[in-house]
Amino acid sequence: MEVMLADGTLVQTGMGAMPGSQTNHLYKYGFGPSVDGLFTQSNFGVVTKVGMWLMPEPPGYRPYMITFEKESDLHAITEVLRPLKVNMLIPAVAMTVEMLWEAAVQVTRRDYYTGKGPIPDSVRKKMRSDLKIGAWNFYGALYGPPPMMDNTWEVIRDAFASIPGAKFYFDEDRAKDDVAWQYRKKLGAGIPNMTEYNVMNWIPNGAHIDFSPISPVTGVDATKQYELIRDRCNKAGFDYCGEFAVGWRDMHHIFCLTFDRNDAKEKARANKLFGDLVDAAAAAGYGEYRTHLDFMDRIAGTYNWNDSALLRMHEKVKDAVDPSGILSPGKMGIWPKSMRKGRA
Amino acid sequence: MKARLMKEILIGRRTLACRLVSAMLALGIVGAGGTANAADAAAAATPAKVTLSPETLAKGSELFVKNCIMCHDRGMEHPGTAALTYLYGKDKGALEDRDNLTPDFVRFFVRHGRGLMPGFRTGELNDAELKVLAEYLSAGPHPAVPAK
Repeated sequence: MEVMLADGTLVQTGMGAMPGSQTNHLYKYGFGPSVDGLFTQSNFGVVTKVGMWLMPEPPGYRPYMITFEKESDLHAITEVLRPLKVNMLIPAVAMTVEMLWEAAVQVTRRDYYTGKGPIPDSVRKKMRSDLKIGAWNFYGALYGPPPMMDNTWEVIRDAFASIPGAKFYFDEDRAKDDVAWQYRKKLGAGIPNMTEYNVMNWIPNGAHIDFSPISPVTGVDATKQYELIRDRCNKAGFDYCGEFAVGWRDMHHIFCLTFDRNDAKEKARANKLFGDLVDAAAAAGYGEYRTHLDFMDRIAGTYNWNDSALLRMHEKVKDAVDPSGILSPGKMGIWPKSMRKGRA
Repeated sequence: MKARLMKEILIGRRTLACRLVSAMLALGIVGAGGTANAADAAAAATPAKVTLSPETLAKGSELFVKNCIMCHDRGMEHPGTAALTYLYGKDKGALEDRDNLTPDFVRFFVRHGRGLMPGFRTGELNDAELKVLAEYLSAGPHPAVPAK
């Protein structure tokens, strides 16, 4: 990584710090403290160069989708998933997606419901049958030589088939104009696209704030988080629209809180709900990994163990590398000394 | 910036201003107390077709590909096109198919955003680039380039 500090010093990190280095970007940790992480989501410097590890195109790619009938299946899906993920039978980022996310990228709320408040279950049922989606939808992909994909698929299929009502789909089973499937298929092959942003077209003039707590890959936690958000969201009059992006040992739970950008009251309601979610999640031991500018202080404040030791350490680093506070003051709740409120 | 742009828009050429205000009314941007009346809106005429130099056309297309196409390409899988289709109908969804965009209209939405679209700051797209982009889109429709 190459980063410019606030005083104009250009720094090469890791192996790149050696002039004429032959191993820059190959071994990430270098010699001594590994500092790359300090420039992730921080305001300590301007990153001017990063190394990306590209992968050769695999000899085969077979994306799949598994749909599940019941809302309560989230528990079983997550439990089945964990060992497959930990053992790397499911590589890359797999997704467990709630039905509304799949619907919102291809239809609008007014196509189905014009009443106020969250859409009723009967309407959800109709959408599921129209769009051939489940209450939950799991997306993954097989990569590699065909015999390896065939063998891996048997294990994955048998594991998920233990959940009653599970249905399995490959590319040939989904329609060519199935917007949701087509963009997931591209993403799994590493082809970036913006289709997912269609979720904000769910309502006219929709804008969003994502509430993004990290969850363990367990059925209990996934369900607890889902219910925590769903109940508060419905009470505030919004539709739950969310998904779990499954990494190796964690899931990024993304709740897309969509509101009408021109409706001041709705915006205020969304703001209030978001703050309530931050607090309720923190009380249950769940923290977010990113957020909107307006909530950076609030979320940074939830990582307050031992008298906010981490935040205080961030501030020490900030004061050392950017004493005048010229780089993104307040980013991730890290303020320069001159702008710090209520703390020396 | 915002005030200057609004001023330009509101005191600009009459037909242009009318078109813009009526469009903004349709989008709910201007409240019920807006400056246009029904007669003005009805009188709004399609702007005269502008012929662009090959350089502007090429630069405009390049800027469109770099900044807009990921959301505004043809097809409902593109969220900007989907949003505009829901608003105006099928043939008005893709920006490059539009024959009724004006430079001021384009500039307003690029700087201010709408719905899921963020406003673009001058650090992302400077005024000179925006001018070319606005001219390019106003000179539409632009034929689709066949996929390679």
